[in-house]
Amino acid sequence: MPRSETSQPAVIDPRAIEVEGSSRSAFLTRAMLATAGTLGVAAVGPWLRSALAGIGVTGQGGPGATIDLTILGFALTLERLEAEYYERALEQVSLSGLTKTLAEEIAQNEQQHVEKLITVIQVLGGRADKPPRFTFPFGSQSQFLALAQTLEDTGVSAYNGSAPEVVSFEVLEAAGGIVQVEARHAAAIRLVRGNSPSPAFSPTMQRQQVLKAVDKYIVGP
Amino acid sequence: MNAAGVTRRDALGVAAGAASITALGCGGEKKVERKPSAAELGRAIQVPDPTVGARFGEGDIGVVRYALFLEHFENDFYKWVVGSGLVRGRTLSLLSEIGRNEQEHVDALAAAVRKNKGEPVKPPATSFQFQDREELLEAAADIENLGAAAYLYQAPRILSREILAQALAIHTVEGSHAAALNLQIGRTITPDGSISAGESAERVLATVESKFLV
Repeated sequence: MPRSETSQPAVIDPRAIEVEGSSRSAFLTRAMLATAGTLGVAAVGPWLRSALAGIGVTGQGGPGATIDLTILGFALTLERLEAEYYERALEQVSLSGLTKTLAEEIAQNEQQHVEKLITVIQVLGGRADKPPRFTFPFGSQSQFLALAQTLEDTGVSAYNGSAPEVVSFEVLEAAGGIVQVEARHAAAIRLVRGNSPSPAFSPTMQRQQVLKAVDKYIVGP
Repeated sequence: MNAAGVTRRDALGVAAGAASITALGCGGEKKVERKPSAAELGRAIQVPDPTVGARFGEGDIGVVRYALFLEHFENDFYKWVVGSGLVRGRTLSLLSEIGRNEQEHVDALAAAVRKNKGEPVKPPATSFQFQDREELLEAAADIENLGAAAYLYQAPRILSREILAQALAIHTVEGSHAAALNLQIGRTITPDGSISAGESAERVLATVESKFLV
């Protein structure tokens, strides 16, 4: 069904797009484009749009795919770090009450974030790196909460800092769904600590800044 | 669609021209003379929310005006709450603080509308009536969760990097507010599970209008 120009700003002829290369994603994209040729880009499924965005719509293994995979890989490192943090805290720290309940729930969420990001990376034709090893200082419940707040706040800032560079709609959608949950975690931890749930606007951090900040928790591959 | 034989460059030229940034003009006609980035083209391939286009304007300025409409609504809600006398103590502190955040959101989005030469957004006419503290807190939680879902749905549809950054900075705050309020009433901090879901403007506005607007 044709859409008006005003609701679909980009008019891209799929038959005119050349997909270079012999990667699996290039092969699949060519097949999808052949089908889309008569139907129009708007009619095809979301993953074609992602694939097009991922190849930068220039037909070359584009900066689009690279930047999205870079950001996804970065996000995956952070989520693995968080998942590991909560899992180990549940084993090593004496947690009780609401803190314990939250830690259990958050641990599950972070693990699901890890799995989701790995899936998205694979669908875009990338490969998830081997997880690094992590090390965390554990002591009292209150120390656990302090570092948990830092990690959640950093996670929100990290996602919000990188998201504007993301090319693919579906990657941005997934990232948005994940970062909102990180913000929910952050607020809950902050409240348990007697802090305000959030500033008025979430601050951002760039990837280099974030990696520097969490470097002390990463031991190496 | 173009006829066969059109080169990729021509197709991209059409795409680039069509994609350029009718986004930021208030009437949708103003075009900016620059080629969209790969990120913008990627996002442009998606279909914007037609309800936003119809009610608030096409492109990014429509999203900003829609967000401002919702923030006006939330801001008015919290002003009402603070004046209602239905909550006290630490709960009142929390709701007042959230309300102050919403005021800042209103101010920032109103400034963004002006900067992009959009038409100002009138605050909606609200009508609040709650029996007691519990009903009020349930409504507050519903409103914040709905607001977070509204931002989440729209954010990937925003073309401009600057406007997207602003929307993301508010989106996560609404998520935080939602979790904070859910905790007050014994709801889970993640009603959608480990990955939050967006809600379309049609459904957000229908909920807000049927429950709270005159």
